[in-house]
Amino acid sequence: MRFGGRRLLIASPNVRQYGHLALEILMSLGFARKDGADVYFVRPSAPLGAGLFELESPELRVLRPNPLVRQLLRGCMAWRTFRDRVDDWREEAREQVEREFVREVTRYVVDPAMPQPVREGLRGARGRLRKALEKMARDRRKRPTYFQRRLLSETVPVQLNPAAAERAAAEALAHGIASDARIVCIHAREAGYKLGNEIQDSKPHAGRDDRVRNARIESYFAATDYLTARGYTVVRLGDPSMTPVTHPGVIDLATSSARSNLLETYCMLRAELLIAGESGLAGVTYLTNTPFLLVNSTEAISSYPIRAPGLFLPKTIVDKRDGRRLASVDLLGDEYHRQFRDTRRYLYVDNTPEEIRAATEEMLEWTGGRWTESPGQQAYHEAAMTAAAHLHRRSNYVRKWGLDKGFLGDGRIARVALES
Amino acid sequence: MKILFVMRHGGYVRNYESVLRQLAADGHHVHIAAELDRNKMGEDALGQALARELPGISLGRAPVPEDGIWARTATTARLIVDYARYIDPHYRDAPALRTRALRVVPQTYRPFLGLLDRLGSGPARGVTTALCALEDVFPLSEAVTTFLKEQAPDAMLVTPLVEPGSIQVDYIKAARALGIPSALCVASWDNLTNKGSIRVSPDRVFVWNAPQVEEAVALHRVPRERVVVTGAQIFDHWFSWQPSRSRAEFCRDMRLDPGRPIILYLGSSSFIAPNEAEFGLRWLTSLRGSSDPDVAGANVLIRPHPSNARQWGGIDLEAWAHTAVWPPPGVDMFSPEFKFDFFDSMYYSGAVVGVNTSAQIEAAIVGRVVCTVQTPDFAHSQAGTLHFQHLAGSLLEVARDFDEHAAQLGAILRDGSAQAERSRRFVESFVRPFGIDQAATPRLAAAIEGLGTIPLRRWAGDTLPRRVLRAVLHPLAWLVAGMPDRRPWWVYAGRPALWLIVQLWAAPYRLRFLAVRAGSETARLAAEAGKSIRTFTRRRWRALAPGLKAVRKGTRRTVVRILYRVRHPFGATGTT
Repeated sequence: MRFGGRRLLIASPNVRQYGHLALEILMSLGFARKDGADVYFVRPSAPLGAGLFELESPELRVLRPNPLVRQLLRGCMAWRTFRDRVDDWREEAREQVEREFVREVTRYVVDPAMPQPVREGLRGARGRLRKALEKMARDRRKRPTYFQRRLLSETVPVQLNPAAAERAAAEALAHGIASDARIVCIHAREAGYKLGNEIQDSKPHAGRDDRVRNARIESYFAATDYLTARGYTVVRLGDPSMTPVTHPGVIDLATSSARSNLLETYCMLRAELLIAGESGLAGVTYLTNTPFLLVNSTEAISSYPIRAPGLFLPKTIVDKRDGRRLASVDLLGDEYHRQFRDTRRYLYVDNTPEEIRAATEEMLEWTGGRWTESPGQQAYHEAAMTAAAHLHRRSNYVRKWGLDKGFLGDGRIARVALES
Repeated sequence: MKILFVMRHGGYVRNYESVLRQLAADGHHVHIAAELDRNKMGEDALGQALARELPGISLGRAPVPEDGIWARTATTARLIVDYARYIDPHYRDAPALRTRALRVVPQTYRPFLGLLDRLGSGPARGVTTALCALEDVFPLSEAVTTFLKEQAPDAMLVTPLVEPGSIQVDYIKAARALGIPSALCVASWDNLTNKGSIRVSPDRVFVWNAPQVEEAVALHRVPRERVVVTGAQIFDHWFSWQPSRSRAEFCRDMRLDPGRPIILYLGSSSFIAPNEAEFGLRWLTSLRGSSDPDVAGANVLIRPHPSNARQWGGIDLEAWAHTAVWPPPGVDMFSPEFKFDFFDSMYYSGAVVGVNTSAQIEAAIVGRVVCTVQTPDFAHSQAGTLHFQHLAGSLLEVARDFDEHAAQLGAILRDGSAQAERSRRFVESFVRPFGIDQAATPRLAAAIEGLGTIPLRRWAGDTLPRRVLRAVLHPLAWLVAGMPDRRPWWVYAGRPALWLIVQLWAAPYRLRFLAVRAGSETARLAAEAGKSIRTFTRRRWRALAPGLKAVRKGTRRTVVRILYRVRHPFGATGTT
């Protein structure tokens, strides 16, 4: 909207899921920069990622208006949200009614006892509705994907506002993180954070079980030992429900009583690398411009790193039907995408400490400018692009998280994944 | 005595092999009728072998009830009953069992069950009682009744009966109507707690032990006097077996070090341990990393559950010394070699570990100490199942984490005699409740033979009130049977309106069609009448024709004569 002669983007990012929050903040910043607009973020009273709302960018203005203007902007946003929801609801309801009507009418169309003119009339109505439904589906496919990889590939420089940065630095120091320390953050998704609110809880019949994205932090220790030996300070991020870590050289911020999201954001901004699995922090890396090594990946296309340097390392996946261990390229196939993360079909085994350590070494090579792409990695990248294009029409999941205008990402699969 | 044994599939023969042999040896004829025509992992082979070997055993298929409004309604009602039992407070901590039961209920009824869930156990019990009472209203299956009449058994056995929506209920109802005594043979130790309900009580329920009596009475509302304890016949052979080879030979075959103790890991089924291989790796890592050298250096033999073995195929255990997975996936679990192998692995092990499996009971019979680790991975199948409590309370050495588990294993490997005594006591109470030397097979066989003499309950038959109630419920049954899956409720609500609109639309065409048909019918009738008249006339004409011809001829002759007389009034001239 235009406000006081300036273009203004009002964004109400998803504050229920940390990763989505970061992605939506970044996408808002990206849009605003492209359109030369200022940004105002509608913040709930107790936001999930309070630290992320303290970010600002030297390339555009993030507004922090007075309460009156804030209420006005919130009102605008609320009205727009309400209208959008009503429109969405109407569209969904219409589509469902039409789809069910088509199914119902078919009973009469195929009934030989029905008079022929009635059957033909109903067949005609059904045909028109089918065309309308197909058009709706086509339109939906044409909509921009949620995960705007192209937009996210462009970095937006961000930093904490001075007051927040000062507070965060003090908190870091209190946790033993020196102001000149070289930081690597680690994170292993565990069951506690979303306990009872995962897809297997809300849709137990669907077969998908997101617990396979979880991992054990212990498997990171070979990599953390390697990092600490090279002078890095390893900071473990997460939430208090996680397994406490008492490993030499690792600062466990997750279970610390003085943990704050501001401090976590501060660490992410300063980190030279994040080692994590498929969790919300993956989205935060794009906002904080942190190089990212994604380990224990269970789905190759959605995990595909957008930016370089960026590597991903799939879990060991075994097909329970025949005991076959899937090769990395199998993760790009139709067969796998029909049932991925379905523990009735597949067994997921965490990356071994050796694999994570090898991938960490490769990632440090890349961030240090010494990395060269192997032919296998190049071939896998091309295979992933082809598979993402192929699956775009077949899988809703890939449509949401996959290819964006022909772009998947500049990252690569870790070399160790192709060796094993 | 002729006995009909209705089983869900041929695999259940394994559970009753000893009893079938005993009955055949006693001169009875047992006909095994399997509902499903399947041969998963070669499970049919044992039944076929018995039928070939013993003249008193025959095999066949059990007919399924014919499809129809009432059959579909009955299945739906049974599935709802099977789910409703999990709303009971006994199952408060069993979400996985509840989800499994819900998965087979048609989607249309799930909102109703969700509501029932929120209302609690009281209304759920009410619904269960009402639906079980309706079993008397549902008509008997013609196919099943005819089959029972053809077979004419002196007694009928069913197993397992508690499968979701089981058709064995129809067999029990038909047997009751025909005056055939029926009994449920409870197939396993978990059958009464983690499957469906016994919706119609047979005349007898044969269970293993006292805890199962309580389960049958409390959870399935079977009258206590109908429950008979026989012991666990399926395990009888383990008590007398001896190893098939020496320890050294066994270790050589398994590629284990004979100088070290063996820790045996017994795998569980896919429902109990869906991601067991992943857990197994962690377990192995913790053992090998244990500070106890006896545990860290022990042989580890992993025996996957036959139905859950394939996942182990993708796990690389080469890096682990003196560790083996045996047997490889795909072996015939019904072969004698498999059993001997299994026995040897238990016999030579120093300690046994498992999540929740009947093999833990078998290990206890062989005298081994059995351990488990309670981890969040298996919360749904350990604390979340009732049958696990039978083991946890009296057999298992339960550890809450790997460190405690390793400590327990170390102690057992060094001297497990105290814990072994615990195993023995468990076996005595759970497997052989009449004494450790009292086999269960003769007891079950005797109980089956006794079915022929039990006083039967009189079934009132298809009485008038039942038929009236059935007529009253017919529209509801029609609605239930016609409700396909995965449609929103409003579709069913709007269906009569759409039907009306379509009928109104079709009405003019139908009327026109009727009118046309009526018109064409009139024309046809007129044509037919004309044709009949013509035919009649023609026939009459043909009948009259010779007479008329004669008349015509006579008339013509007369006319000719008259004309002649008129022309020649004075007689003929010329020659005559």
